[in-house]
Amino acid sequence: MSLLSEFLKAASRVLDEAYAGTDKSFPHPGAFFLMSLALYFTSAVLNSPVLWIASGLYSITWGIVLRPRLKPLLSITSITLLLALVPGIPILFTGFDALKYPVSVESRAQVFAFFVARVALSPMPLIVSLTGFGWASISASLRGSRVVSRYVSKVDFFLLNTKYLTVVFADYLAARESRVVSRARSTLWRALALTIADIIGKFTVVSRDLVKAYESRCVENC
Amino acid sequence: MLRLSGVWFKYPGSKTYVLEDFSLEVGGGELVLLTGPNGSGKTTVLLIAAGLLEPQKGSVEFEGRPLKKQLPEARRHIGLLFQNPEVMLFNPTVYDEVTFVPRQLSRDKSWIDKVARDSIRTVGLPERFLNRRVQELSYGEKKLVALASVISYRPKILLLDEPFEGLSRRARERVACVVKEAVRRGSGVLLASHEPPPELAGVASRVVDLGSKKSLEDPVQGLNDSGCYADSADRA
Repeated sequence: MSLLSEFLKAASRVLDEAYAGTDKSFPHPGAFFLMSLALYFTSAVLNSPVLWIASGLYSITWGIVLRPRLKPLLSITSITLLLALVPGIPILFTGFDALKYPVSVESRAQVFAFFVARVALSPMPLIVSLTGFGWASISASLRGSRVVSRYVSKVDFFLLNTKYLTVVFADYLAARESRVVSRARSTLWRALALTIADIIGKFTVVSRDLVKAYESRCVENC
Repeated sequence: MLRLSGVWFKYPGSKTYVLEDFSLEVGGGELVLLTGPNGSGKTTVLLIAAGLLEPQKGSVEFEGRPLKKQLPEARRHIGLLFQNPEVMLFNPTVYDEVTFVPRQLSRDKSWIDKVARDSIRTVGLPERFLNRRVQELSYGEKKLVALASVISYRPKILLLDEPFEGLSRRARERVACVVKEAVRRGSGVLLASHEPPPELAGVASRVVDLGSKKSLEDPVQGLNDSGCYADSADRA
């Protein structure tokens, strides 16, 4: 199996999730998403354990109602947990977290728990919202508002850019893999590394062209 | 030499098949033209023939054996030219680009240097081009460099995706010369193009039209000894 085939399969799965939508209409996808976003920012910024718990309970409750897609939910939750646990481990040993908590904290385990809760629980409402409705449905329901639609367009554009870059990356990868003739793994991995470096290097150029194409046909609310 | 039999292919995530029960054979000394409108699957056929994509059904064989079992070594004998040269060129200089595959096959610097010089001259570019940085080249020059990098290791099968696109008349004639010479020397060439290129009129053994899904037989006519390949040492 070639690297290209593997990449296309993986990219297809990721893009399918990114562009997925549902026909659920209750609660209103746009309103629910904005509420989730507000709760996420509030609980992350205000640094209150009460709000983290509220985020957790909110997510569990609405998770039961919305029945989000399990695979992306688990994937994203695992990533946020990892993002919480990895920097949290030193805190478990030192008891030092740069933030001051509004409640008194007695032990290192408590500091660690607060840190993990802040990082892992705060974004849960947003994760449930995205995996429950899918960005496509949220975007469609938010476009009704002139104020919000400008920001929604930017997210849509970002996703479009990602799709375009995926296609470009696939082409680049194919071109390199087609000229790897030796079985030496190092050659293949070097080709892959070069491809990634190429894409990063050309990201600006590719994105700029895409932005021009987008803006040239952007006449209202974008 | 290269055979696709009963190939069905759809891209991951897609519901429709790009290729349905598609079969194609390219033998040594043959030029097969693959034509069809945009989206008909020409590039997909080439990627499958190069072993980069695997069909959901059907088989791809190179010299009588399944291609996937011979990878990546079989790519030593299969050269793939992409439609967009920007995609293909990733080395800093033209020399690095043209010798990318030869350097995997041999450490003999004198042979590698000769291959580089011969290949760049074959596509009609001067030797001083070898020192140029790839990103400074024009589109047409990049296309010729990409072709040079593919013919440098004399593959038995050449898969060319729109090799004439974006080239001047003179460069097109050069590419046609390279194709005819490759066929004359015994390579099989599968060339994808929106429509049969006038430069190769009467040269193709067959034209496979993906738009109408039929194969048109044209007799081989007068492959001239164009002599456009520079002399080169034996393959490593």
